[in-house]
Amino acid sequence: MDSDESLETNLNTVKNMILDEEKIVTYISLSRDLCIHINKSKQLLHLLVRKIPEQCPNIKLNVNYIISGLTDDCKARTTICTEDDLKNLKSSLKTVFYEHVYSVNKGSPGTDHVAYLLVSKFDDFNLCAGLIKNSECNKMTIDEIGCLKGNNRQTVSNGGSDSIPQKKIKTESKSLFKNNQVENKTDAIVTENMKSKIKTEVVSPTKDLNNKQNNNHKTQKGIAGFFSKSNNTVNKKLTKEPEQKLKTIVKENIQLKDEKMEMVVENQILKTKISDKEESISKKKNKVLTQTKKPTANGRKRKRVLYVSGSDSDEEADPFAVKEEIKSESDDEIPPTPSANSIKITSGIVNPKKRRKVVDKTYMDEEGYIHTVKEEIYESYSENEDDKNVKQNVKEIKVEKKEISPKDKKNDVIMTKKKISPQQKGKQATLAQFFKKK
Amino acid sequence: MFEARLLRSSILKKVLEAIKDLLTQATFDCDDNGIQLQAMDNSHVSLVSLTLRADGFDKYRCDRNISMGMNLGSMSKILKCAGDKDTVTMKAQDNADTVTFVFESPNQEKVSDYEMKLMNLDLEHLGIPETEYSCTIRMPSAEFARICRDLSQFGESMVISCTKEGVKFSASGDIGSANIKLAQTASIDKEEEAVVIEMDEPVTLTFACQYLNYFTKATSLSPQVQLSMSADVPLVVEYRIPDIGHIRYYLAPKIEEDDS
Repeated sequence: MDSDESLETNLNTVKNMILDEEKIVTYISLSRDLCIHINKSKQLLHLLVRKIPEQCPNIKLNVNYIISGLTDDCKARTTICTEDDLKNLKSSLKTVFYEHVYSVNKGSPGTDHVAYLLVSKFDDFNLCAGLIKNSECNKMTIDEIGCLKGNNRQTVSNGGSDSIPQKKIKTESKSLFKNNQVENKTDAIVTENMKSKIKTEVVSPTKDLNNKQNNNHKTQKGIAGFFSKSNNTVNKKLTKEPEQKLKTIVKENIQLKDEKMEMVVENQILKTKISDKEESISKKKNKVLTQTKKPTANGRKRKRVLYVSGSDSDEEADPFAVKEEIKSESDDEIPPTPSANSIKITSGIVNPKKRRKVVDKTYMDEEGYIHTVKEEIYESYSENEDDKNVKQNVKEIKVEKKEISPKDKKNDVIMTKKKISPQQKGKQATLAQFFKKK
Repeated sequence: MFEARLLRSSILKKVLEAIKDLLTQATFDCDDNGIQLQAMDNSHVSLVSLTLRADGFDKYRCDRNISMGMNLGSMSKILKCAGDKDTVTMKAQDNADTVTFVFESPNQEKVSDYEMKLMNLDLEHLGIPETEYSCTIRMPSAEFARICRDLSQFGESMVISCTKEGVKFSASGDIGSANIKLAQTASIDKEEEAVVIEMDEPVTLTFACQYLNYFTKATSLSPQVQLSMSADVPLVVEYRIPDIGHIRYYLAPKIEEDDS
């Protein structure tokens, strides 16, 4: 009962589609639209073909049949034909595999060939068993289809007659049928053809166009070389704003770093006091690490002072507590820029395995002025008598540096080198010591 | 206008080869007497004094005193473009900022001209007093070059000691020590190969081998070299350029430090 009801409803819908909407209904499109099996769609169309002439004798229906079979030459042949041609084809075939209604539509048979092109999506081929497929069919892109549609529209607008586009379609379809053999293939064969066609489609004319475009782009690159100069100016303009932002950020960072510098200086002073105390108490237990970071890219330097104490009794020397106090003070007030002489150089060597070295380091303050500051750097070295002698010599040479004129600096360097090597004699004098300027 | 023409460009080429390693740039002072150059190396340890007399040129014209500051490396590159047998002509206009070198082949079929930009150099000029030296040694330039090259392998410094017995070149270093003694040539067959020592007082001075090796680049200019020494006075190494002038190198000695 239910099946009868569903059958009636489907029949009604198909009737509406054919008679009211004047659509060309194939068994494939019907099965897709009604979500029924293809066999049921074939049955529906078969029923319709019988009922409509009985119910509406005035209405002319254009019915196409599909027939497939073996010819006398033992070749498979699948043909779409009208009712009139069906009997002749049947007789021509040695064996008939199947025969059923292919499409039904209302109207003159002139438009029946459109039904052959009625598969809306090329991708549906895989879903359709027993689908008629032309081996010379090529997948057309949307643009190409649009061009065809456009051509049809143009002809309609120019000629005003519907026959012209129909003629075009007819010629195309006729050529297709005349020149090509229509084969009925299974899904696997269809997929292979799809792949083969897809492979052929790899070299599509559109891709050649793309290559041409790439070549043009290559030549344009050469041209772009001429335009790049102006673009750079544009880019420079565009980057000005972020650069300004960066400058403000950098200034802020510089301010922060200034504050940090002061904190580090004060920590150093405290640290030296602490270290002096520690040395008096115990040298072995406590370790003091001073690390100096390399100056940053913009020339600023940062120092990190770590203090690791091994003994529990040294509660007095707690640099972290002191640091926090300093930080709290710095948050409220804006400290002044440090002067060149504000940094104190500690005396003595904290770690006997490390050598203290005074180095001039430069930094930039808020206003952009560059300050040169003397700072201590501890370098590790091995304890040898020669090194001690070198130290002594270095001290002596440092004293002498003050006395000798700047022109003799190089000589001093040479002299120090000479001192290190054992058998060198003398210090290199300059001609200025012998000859006077004119 | 300034114009100086040399029949043999090889002389000027050799002069440049002799000074370009020591000096990067120098001023050529041109006047009626000729061309002079005086410049110190960057370390101010050595000094080069070049004199090319006007009568040594095939053609010499100097309307006004002109000082041309030149990059010696560039000038050497230009001179390398000349053939050894080509004639070279230096030209410069008054108050000009370029100098032109014209090279002509012997058959005058090929003429090349090169223009070089001049530089404004503000170099110090030292007054070199005329000194009578305690020791004067004349020897083959090739021999002196060989001695400097050999001893520089032993140490950075060379001790030149001039005594009655002759002249001794010494060097010592990590690998050992080396001594080369030259006595005065008894019989002089060829003056160029003779070693002549004139000594008023014995002199012992220490010099840097590096600079002596620079000086020996001028060996090709003259078959003989003259060393002049006095106590605590720069060494003078002189190469006489035949028929045109000389090139003198002054080298400050090394002074021993007082440990006290």
